[in-house]
Amino acid sequence: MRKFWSVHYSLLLLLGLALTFSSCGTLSSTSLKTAQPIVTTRQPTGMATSTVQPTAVANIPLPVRLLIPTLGVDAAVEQVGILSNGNLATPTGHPWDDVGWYDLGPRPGERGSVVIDGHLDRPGGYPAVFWNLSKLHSGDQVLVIDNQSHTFRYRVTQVAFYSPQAAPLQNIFGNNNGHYLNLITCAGDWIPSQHQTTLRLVVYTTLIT
Amino acid sequence: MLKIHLVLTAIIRRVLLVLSMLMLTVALFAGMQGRAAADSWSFVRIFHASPDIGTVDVFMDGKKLLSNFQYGTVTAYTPVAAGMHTLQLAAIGTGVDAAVLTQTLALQSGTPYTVVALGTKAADLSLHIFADNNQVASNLAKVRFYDMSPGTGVVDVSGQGNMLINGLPYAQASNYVSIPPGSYTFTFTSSRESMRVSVQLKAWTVTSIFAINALNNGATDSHLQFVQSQITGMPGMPGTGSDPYVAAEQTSLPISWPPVILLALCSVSAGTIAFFCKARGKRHTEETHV
Repeated sequence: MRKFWSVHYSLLLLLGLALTFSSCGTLSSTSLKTAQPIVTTRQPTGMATSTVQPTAVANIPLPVRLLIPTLGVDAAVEQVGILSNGNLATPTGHPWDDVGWYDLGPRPGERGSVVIDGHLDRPGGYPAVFWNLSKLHSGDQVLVIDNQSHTFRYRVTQVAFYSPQAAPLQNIFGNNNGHYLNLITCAGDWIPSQHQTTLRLVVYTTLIT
Repeated sequence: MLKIHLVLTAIIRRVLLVLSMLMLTVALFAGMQGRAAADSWSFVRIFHASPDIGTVDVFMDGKKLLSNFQYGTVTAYTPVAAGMHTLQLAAIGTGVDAAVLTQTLALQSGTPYTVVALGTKAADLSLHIFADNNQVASNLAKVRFYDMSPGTGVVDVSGQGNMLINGLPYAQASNYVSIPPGSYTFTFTSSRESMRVSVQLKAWTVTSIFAINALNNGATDSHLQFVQSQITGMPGMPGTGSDPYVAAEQTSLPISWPPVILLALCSVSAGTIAFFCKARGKRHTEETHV
């Protein structure tokens, strides 16, 4: 009987320790997720030669959260640029849970094509932030909140699949005809030799308010 | 005889079945293509390189697209529904019916184009259309040269002592040249002269350098003049998928805490019950002894 009690209390102690450390981990993760403002020099896409002077950090509205109510997505937004291979970068802070806003393009609410990407899955095939993105339909809403508590509502207008080599880049990144937000993730089958999937999914949305 | 007839009938039926299925597939595919094109845009920018027609208004499909469009200027890319369009240029204020240049453009969805109004005499006026590629080239800058100078003939383009483009004919655009970002001086050399143009090339940009004839008091002269246009290039599509065949990263997996808490509660409950059972058994033993 004494042996039973030793095992029992040891298990409880281990569980307690596990819960304590996991709570610490959660706290540190949350604090890391706080958006770090970065000074950026931006240039509008698709315009003739022009330069925009850097503005004071506090005055720059930057997106901090992306919400897709119909999918239950509520993700922190990181800033991403272009990789050395010329492709759009993806989030690095929390690669599977955060989304990446292309910071050489317009900011949410501005005219042009705002682009946000996110991972489809994690290594091993487990779901990541944009796992269910293909389930969006025309009319669904996508919300972006910036660091000044402004909320921008977009409505889905089209869900399209492209091979990465044949994607209409100017349409995705450089359409200045309106106020757009385009979400990108992967789709199709994994190609081990190319270390990428066969397709990309683009969800086109347009600003409502 | 009857047997042969039956066999032939069966073959014809099968061939018709296969053909109808093929036609259905083609029709469905065509339908999908049509839907995709309806949701897509092509992108057009216009460059005015025709000094003879002066300042113009530009019309697309009969509607005014640009006003007061001057020689030597280039517009930003404008989204236009993919398909066939009629582009017309008319002297400013004269209206579309007085168009001096009318041309049909076939625009593909997703493609950016540079359309150049070119020519020195009414008979030579024409629109030259170039399909553009604005995708960035790694961390480099891209530059493309356009020889839009009538009478200059073939030009060579060199930069920092290196020959970049050899023998670019009139009314043609060069291939894209990808070079490290920085300050450059490009030299255009024709049989008549060598002219230089200085450019600041930034990473991930696409720069167009148009060589046209200079204007002197409204009349063209034989010297070259340059017009530059620089845009931020378009990145390639991101890699947002992961290898499904590798072991999952345990640290990054979402942990479901409810089962852990439930296990802890069960354990506590089991321990409490066992404690009371033990206490009750002990009391029962003591009572029995008494």
